[in-house]
Amino acid sequence: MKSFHYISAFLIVSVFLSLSLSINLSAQEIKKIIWPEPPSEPKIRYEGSLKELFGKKVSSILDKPYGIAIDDKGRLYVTSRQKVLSFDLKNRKYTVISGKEMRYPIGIALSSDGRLFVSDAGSSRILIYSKDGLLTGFIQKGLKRPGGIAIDEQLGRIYIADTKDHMIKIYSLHNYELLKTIGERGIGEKGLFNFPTNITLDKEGNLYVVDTGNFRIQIFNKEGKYLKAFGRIGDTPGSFARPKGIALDSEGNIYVVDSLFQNVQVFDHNERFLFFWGKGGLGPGYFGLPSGIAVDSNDRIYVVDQLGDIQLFQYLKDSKK
Amino acid sequence: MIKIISIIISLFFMCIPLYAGIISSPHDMTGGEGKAYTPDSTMVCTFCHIPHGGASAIALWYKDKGEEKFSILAWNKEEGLSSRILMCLSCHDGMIGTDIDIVSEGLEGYIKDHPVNKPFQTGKAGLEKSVIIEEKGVLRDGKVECGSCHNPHSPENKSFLSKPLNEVCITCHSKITSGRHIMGSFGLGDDHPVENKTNPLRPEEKMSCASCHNPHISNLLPVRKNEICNLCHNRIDTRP
Repeated sequence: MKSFHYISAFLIVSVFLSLSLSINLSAQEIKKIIWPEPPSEPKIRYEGSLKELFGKKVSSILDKPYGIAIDDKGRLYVTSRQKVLSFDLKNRKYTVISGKEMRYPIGIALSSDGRLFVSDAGSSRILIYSKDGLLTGFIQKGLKRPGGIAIDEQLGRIYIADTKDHMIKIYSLHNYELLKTIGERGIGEKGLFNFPTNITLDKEGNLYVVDTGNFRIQIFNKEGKYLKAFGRIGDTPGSFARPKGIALDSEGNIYVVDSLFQNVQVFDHNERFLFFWGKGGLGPGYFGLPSGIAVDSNDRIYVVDQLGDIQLFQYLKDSKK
Repeated sequence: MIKIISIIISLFFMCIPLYAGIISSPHDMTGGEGKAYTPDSTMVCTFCHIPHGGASAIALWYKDKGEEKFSILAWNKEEGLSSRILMCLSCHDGMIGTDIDIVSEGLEGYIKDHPVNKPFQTGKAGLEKSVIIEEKGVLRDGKVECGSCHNPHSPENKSFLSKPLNEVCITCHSKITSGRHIMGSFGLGDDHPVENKTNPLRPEEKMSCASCHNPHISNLLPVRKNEICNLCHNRIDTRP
């Protein structure tokens, strides 16, 4: 625990942005952008982007962003080069958490008591911050290049995808000790990984791992036992090329971002392919290098683009259900 | 039909030397086993050269059949980063591979300072005339791209460079060897060593252009211009 004695050089800059918005589309026009297109029933609606909300300049602040987490008040926490950005969309304000301790923050997760866990692939550790941006500790032991993070409050666990070590590592949420690991490097074998990048948990505590280098999603139960996998390499719907971010909505639908297809594919909780949206380009529903994804408690979907934007979408629940 | 078969066969033989270079290199994403995971393929190539096919799943949310195939990096080249650059960046995202500094201006984006994806500017930094550079075949669509310096299939040079390090720089910056640069020593005495001598900061390396310059950071120098000398020549105290 000596690492806690590090004095962090942190900096919080609160920036109040002038509301010089560069909205090209009116709010009504935006609400009309939906997928899939008629005659299919609409399921995803475009809700805007950070560029539209904060102006084009947000791209220079969002310097190669990757991961995203949303707190219970709807505040966005986004990892970016050498900093974490926290956006308040309602008041159109943002704050910056940065310091010498941070190099390439990638994964990000929030615990219910307000701790912020940031995986720093550059310094091979997890940085732990208080909600107001104070560095309070590290998880360092046994990490090579940590990426995706997920928190299980019930079991008191932090799951970390160690991309370079090809392994999932589980730490205690209370004392940050390494509890257990899942898998090791393997090419195609069940339960093994080749560059696992992003992870998420469902309501039952099952772990979903984006096994990027094996072009599939693997699912484990809370004991760490392999349950099932889906996806394969290819260029057809349901296949993966460079799968990255993963998130689940309130109905358990699975959203997987693919950097090479530049889209988001959606599967149901039985891993059946539902549909996809997005393609390469500029504008609503177009992506450059999409990476992280998050879905909040209201089924609002946030997709991070490493080329400097975050797009917002709304999952339209089936009214008949 | 015969034509198609002959193309496939010639492509196969063309790929063998490239494939052989990748195995066990950092670009072998199978960890040296030489097999990328797919039920139909045992090649390492598929990590970047995503194969076509795979049974197309029926989209349950579509009334009609929906699209049957995705395009990989469908991109309007004139608008921004080319699909060739994005292919590199899809792994060099800071997580799977080492990070590459990109300026996030969306599709208008470019890679910091070393003018990747920017219109080529002649006359700066000892650059050769653009016509000559164009002839050397390093530009892609008239611009500098990852592939201008790097060859992802060639692990024999440091950092997958297409040629030994100094040669890569001098391909475009050829006038640096004779102009007013420390390498040309301002016409006073010997040139600054850029090869054969050991780098005092990294004894395992020889001196090269990269000892002073980092082509992937803005302004290309790791410290301020006047401080770069002091990194090695630290006996000279420049403090007032």
